[in-house]
Amino acid sequence: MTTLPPPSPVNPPSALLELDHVSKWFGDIVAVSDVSFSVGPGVTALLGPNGAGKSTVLRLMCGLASPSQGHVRVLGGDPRHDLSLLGRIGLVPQQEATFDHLRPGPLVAVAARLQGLEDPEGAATAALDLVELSFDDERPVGNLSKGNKQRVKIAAALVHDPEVLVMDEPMNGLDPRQRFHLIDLVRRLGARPGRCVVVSSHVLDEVERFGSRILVIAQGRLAAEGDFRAIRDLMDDRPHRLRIAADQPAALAAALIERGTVQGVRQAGKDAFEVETNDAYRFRREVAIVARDRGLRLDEVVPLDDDLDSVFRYLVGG
Amino acid sequence: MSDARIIDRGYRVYDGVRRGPRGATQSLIKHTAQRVLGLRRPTRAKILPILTAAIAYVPAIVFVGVAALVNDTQVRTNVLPTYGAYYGFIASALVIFATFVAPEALCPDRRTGLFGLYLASPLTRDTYLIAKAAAVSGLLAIATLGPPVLLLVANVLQGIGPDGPGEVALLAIRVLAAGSVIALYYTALSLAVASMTDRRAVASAGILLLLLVTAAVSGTLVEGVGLPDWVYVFNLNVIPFELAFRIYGEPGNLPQLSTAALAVAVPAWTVAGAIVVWTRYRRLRVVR
Repeated sequence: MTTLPPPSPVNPPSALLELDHVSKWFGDIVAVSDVSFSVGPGVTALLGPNGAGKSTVLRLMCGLASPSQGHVRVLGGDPRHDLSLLGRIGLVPQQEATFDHLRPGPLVAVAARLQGLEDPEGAATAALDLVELSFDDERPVGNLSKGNKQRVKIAAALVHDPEVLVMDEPMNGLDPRQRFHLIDLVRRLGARPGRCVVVSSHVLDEVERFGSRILVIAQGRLAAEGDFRAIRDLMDDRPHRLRIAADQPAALAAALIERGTVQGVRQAGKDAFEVETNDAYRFRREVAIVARDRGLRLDEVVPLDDDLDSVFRYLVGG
Repeated sequence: MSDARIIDRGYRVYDGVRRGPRGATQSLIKHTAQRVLGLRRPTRAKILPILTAAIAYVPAIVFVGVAALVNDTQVRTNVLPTYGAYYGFIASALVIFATFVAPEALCPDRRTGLFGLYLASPLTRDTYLIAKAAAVSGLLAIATLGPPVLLLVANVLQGIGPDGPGEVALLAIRVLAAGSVIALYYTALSLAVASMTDRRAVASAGILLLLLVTAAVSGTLVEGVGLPDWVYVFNLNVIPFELAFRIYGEPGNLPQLSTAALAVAVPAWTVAGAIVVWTRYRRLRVVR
């Protein structure tokens, strides 16, 4: 695996959020250890197993906890000490932190008033529209489904139109349709210029649809960051696995071995075989050429371990 | 160019501040004190340290209360102990600490092999022992210095203490000297016995036997066989408190024993104990 020593954060253009050698410990427990990264505009997924330190990182980003060591900068300031920044950050907490007796409209309006907005009802209406709920919904929040409660929490976090939106496990408890809607919403929010959304989750197949930029935290340390496909390409100690279907799989496999494009071949059914290659880019370029030169029909080339789930498993050893 | 990166989460060279032998010694003092006091350990490990503190401080608090509530000088004189006599109230606390608590500083490190790990750090055998002795004597000093200081401050505040700043300063020096002598004495004694074994229970039994046997034998030799009074210097249970009496200018319970003999014997036993520990650890074979 191509690895680097603990580096300073790679600053993407116009980083909205930076952690510089941040550690956080609670007594003897080190929750976050020497983490450095930057987050620019768009959607970034914060991934990690349970107890990896994701929620602590999110709390540090929102100024809800102070780092034991290092510096956190959000929109160029320290969220722990610059209170004006809090009006530019929105947090969707993991906990069901709502006033269950209130209706969605008044609840979101309370959040707007807390942010000092001039027209709380109007801002609440706009925020609820964004999550496809109505200000006039008469049901108390306590009676809403889990998915709708989640939407209310998101609306409350969005009501002041924050530049940085932090969402802690927003997928928890949502059904597939609600997840689909939330993913769409997060993508739309992240697509706005100069805005970023940081989403922590361990529902990897859904996270993959947010976008490709990820931060992986394991045991309190940053394990990897960037586009997960690029991260996969950096794992040169783990050959890429691909499934190849062809009319004459044995002949094509032999030709690929002869050419030195693959490191290993395994039969996978009557019409297909799996290969292992250290250079997936070269393989994809050459497999068609080899098939054409040998007069073989290439039916299918499917990567088997280039998805986010595989990348995540490789990184955290799951 | 992609900004993706995978960070090596494996072994990393420590590039932070290195505090060296001084930092290692301070760290060991702190962690030894925590262990001896039972901090971050089960409740049963905290019982004896708490008992020691209670025995040491409760009499002082009661006496301060009596002095504050009773105005009759005659009653005060009869009820309140002298500074030298106060150690009689806390002798059991010191014996409990030296016997049952202090061996915790040395024995587990050898039994668990941690001593070898300590020697792989900037600590040497000497700095290791200095740290252990500092931790134990520091905790003992809380019991030997704290209550007399409390009495002194309370008496001064109530106007029944020594007259004038000079007298107060002299008494403070006596408090410091007596408390330090007793703390160092019991530290040396308990660590000397603890250095002989890696079993805490054996060390506790050994310290208890040493105190009881020397008291019985010296008493028998002087009072039964008729040997001279200086033989009392072998009564390890009594001589530190007798020296404390003399430091305060009080006759004590064994007035027949000369102050000079005590002034030699107590430091001598302390040094002897230290030499035993040092020699034992100098020769101790460390297996890593």
